[in-house]
Amino acid sequence: MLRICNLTKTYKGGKLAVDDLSLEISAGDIFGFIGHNGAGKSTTIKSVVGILEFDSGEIYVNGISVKDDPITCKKMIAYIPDNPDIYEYLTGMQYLDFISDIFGISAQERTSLIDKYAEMFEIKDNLGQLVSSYSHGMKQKLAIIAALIHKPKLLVMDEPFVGLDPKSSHTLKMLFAEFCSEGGAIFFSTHVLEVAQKLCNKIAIIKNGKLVVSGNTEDVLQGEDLEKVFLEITE
Amino acid sequence: MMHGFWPVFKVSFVNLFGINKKLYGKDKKGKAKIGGIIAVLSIVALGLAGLSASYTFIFCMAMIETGEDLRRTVAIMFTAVSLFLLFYSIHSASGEIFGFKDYEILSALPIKQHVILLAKVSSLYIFSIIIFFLVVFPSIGVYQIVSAGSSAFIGFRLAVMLPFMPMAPMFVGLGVGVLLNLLTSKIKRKNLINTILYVLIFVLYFAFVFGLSRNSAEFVSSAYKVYPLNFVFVSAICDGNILMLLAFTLGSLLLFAGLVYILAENYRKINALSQNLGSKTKNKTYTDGQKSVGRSLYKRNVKRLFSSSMVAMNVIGGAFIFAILIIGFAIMFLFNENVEILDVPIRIFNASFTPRYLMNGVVPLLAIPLSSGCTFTSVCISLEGKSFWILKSSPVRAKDEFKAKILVDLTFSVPISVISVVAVCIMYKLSVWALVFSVLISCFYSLANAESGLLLNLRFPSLDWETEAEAVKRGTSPMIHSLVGIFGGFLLIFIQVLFSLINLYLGLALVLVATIASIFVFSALLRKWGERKYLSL
Repeated sequence: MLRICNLTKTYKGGKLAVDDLSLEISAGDIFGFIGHNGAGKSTTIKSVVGILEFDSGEIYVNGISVKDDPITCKKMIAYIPDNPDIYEYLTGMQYLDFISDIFGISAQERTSLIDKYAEMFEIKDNLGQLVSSYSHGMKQKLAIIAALIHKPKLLVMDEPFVGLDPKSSHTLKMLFAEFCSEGGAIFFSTHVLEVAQKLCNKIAIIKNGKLVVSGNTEDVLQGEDLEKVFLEITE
Repeated sequence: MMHGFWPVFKVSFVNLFGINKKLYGKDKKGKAKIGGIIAVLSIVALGLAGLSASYTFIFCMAMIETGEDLRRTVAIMFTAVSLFLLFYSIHSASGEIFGFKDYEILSALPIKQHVILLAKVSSLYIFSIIIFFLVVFPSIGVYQIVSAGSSAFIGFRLAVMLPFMPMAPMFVGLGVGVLLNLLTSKIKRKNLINTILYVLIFVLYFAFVFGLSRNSAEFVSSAYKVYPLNFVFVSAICDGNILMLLAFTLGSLLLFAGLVYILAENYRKINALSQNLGSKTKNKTYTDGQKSVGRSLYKRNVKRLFSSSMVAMNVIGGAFIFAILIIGFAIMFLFNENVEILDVPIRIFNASFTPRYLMNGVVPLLAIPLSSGCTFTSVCISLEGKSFWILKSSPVRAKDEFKAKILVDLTFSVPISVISVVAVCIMYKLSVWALVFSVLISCFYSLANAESGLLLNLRFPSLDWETEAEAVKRGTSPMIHSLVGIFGGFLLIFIQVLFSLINLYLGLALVLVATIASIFVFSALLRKWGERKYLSL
């Protein structure tokens, strides 16, 4: 589903953000991407979704190169950033309509999907209000709904649980399971190690731009607690 | 009493023109860019002072010819600046003085509301003082020379009055701006209504002024009459009337202090209304139906343009206001003056021409400064700001987004330009060729203007803004775009007047060909460089 091959990215000023990183995510995977602040998680994620250009390496989504055919790749991906700055001058519904139009979703289909997810996340009554009046959590929920309504094959998320209330976090976890059981894959970064340990069947830990460990969760942890493994690796 | 003023003021000030980011950011050329900004601002300042001195000289010469009181030139320049600052203050009220992003952080600090308000108003105040200095001082200097005035103390009187000059326009402007915001705070399309009301105030004011005058000389006098402080100002400066000087300074100070007191007392309430806190507008919660990608992108960009009155006024307001002034003057001259004067031959360099003949060659070029007043594409990339990730991560081609942005710009620039220039052609019964060139230059120049604006914004994007004012008013791209367009337009008009002596329409044809050629060049640049740059942002 997602193959990252020898990804390297250096920012202006000489900071090596990601150094020769390789990862593979298959359909059905919930892949947790963990690292300290400034480790290179967001850079990797933004390179995958086409927001950042990278210096060398390749990224393939279902065999298609993100460099050669970014549009086709983006049609298969949904991205949710850690701080979803959504158009504040639109209402929630207008934003969802905009995303639906970009992905060519029919009026009927978008209505039923928006209804379904808006009820699930309990923001149906707020969709008529301007995004500027939303709390951070509501914006996060809106971003999640916008990501799901175009039925992506790969969900890429940066800290998806930040700002969500407990019920919505639980709903999101249920959706993850449903999404992967239908053949999708999820690639997300998080600082909440308990969630990563419980949810993810695969984990990667990155430190100073370099991949330190990657693989099935059981193989990486070897019976230990993820927090302990993480602290040992990143010290 | 003023505890916290200096830190709050400093924090706002270092963000002016993104100076702090350039000093401490990762861009190695950042510090050099500050030098560039200072150079550009210095040129603009010198230009403004030069323009003020030139216009004062021209007015003085005209008034000597007609035997009028030379002090009216001082009044005219003072009125012009005061009115500009008045209208500028109206739309600064929202986004800069109220409803700014760091309001909550500042409100949680142990700083009094009136101190926060004063710190925010101070930037506007300093800007106003600089503008008054650059316009009024050269004007008074020229007046002194032309009138052979001998008052040694005029400079001293000016220096004493300078700090008080912006207070009255700011009092009226901020007061009206706050009232506008309060009136429209509960309305569904608040920002659009705000923009319309703002333009309406402007139109009504000038309609009133135009209505007072029977000819263009009286228009000048009317402007003098309609701004009440003129009489006090001119008496204090030119006549050295101490009572008037005291009245001006104390009166301005009292007005301003009163305004600050009232606004500070209601600061929280006004900010809450500006930020739509707790508002529950009855917008629809059902889908709009499926639209094409192009239409969806276009619609979103239009909503962005009208998302705040500050954005709308800065981006298309200039063109609207200029169009209103052109049509207003044209109507006033047509109905009030002796129009036959247009067919009276005048001799220039041994050739005889009528003013109407010259108008055929000049009027079509008014399309250039008119179209240049629309600057949407020069800020459209910057306006994406922190929401840019949405477009970057969506399957939207750069060229489709470019098309949508250019189309939004043309939606306003073409009608404003075409209607204004064609209206003047029809009113003054200019030739068919003037009409044809008017339409063609309006349309093609608007497209060239839109494309060049987009290229400039791709070259000088400003995505890390905290307030929209940073992106729209203080960005490098809109500054270069509008200055080059407007000044270039007037320069071309001046050249065309001289060219018309040789061949009336050749100059227009050359402008048209050059405009079409530049469209091809800009389009190629957008395809080859622009799309790549967009993806790398």
